[in-house]
Amino acid sequence: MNIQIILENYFKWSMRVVVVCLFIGLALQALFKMEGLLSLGLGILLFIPVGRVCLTLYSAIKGKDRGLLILSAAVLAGLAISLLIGLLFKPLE
Amino acid sequence: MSILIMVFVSFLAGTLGSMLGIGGGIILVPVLTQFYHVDIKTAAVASLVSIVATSASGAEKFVRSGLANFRIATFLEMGTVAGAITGFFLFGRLTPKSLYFIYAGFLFFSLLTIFKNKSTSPLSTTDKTADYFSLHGSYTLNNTLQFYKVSHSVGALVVMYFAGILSALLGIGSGILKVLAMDNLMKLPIKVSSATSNFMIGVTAAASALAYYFSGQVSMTLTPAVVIGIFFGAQLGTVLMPKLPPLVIRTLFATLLLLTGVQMFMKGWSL
Repeated sequence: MNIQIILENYFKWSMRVVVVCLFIGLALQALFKMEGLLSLGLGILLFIPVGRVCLTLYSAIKGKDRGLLILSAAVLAGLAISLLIGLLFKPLE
Repeated sequence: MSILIMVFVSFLAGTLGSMLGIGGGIILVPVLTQFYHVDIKTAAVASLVSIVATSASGAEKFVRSGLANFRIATFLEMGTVAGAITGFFLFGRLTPKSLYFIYAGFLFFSLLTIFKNKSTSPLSTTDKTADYFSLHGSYTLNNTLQFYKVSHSVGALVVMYFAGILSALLGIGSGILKVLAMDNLMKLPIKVSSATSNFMIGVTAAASALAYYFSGQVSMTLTPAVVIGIFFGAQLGTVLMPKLPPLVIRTLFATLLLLTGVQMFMKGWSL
């Protein structure tokens, strides 16, 4: 399948999942002070761009496109570093 | 502030932001800090997460239109992601006072760019980096395939680094800086530069938002309400935008930037 069609469907469906999670999550938070679904919804949301870069990387590997492979691997590495520093560094108060 | 009010305020910011062709963050952060006394850092992080949502919802449209250049977006994202990581470290070290001043400075800078004429003449200079990564592309305009060449890609990458820092610090998408760099340095057609900028804003925002999320700096009370409000507001703004004359949009945008810029400066001064 064409990468353009994959990306279109990817964005469409992932955003639907996030919106549903956030709506139900907000209701659960207001009614029962439960934050689990909200946290999950935001987590999925933040990983949507990561997934997009992974799809670009996949298309680069499949198409044996060296230039795009280097670029998408560099961006993915940057996002992984960002995630890692988030886990390792706590905010200064 | 109750959840419903937060959703409503974000909805208005998202509608207005989308009508003006900018993200809702640049409006939302000043409103939350000025009128609802939300801490600037909390507001900026919530805004950053909402940018990921608006970018992801708009990305589908940009992919379908064929205007966004994936290769240029991925190339420039190397700069914005590196900048966002730097911004994350600076965010913890900067005082709210300095953030207010940076915000005001950015708003005044954006104001200057509104009435600037867009560069349209393509350069014929060769760019080895652009050649190596095959950044040149094409798009369809009036059923005709238009080709464009990219220049000064390394210069644009440096600008993207600073765009990434500003995005992480202020909770904005830095679309203005991105489009400026793509227009003036890379000499991309305006439609391609704005579509590519919108397409890559999500990765820029996610780079620092991931770090904020995993370091526990994302407010679970404010952020989901802001995300939902801005997301739906942006959908309405896209419908309303074509109904407004461009001059009205520009004047509205300029007034808004001037007012919020002055307010942010005064708030920073008073701290």
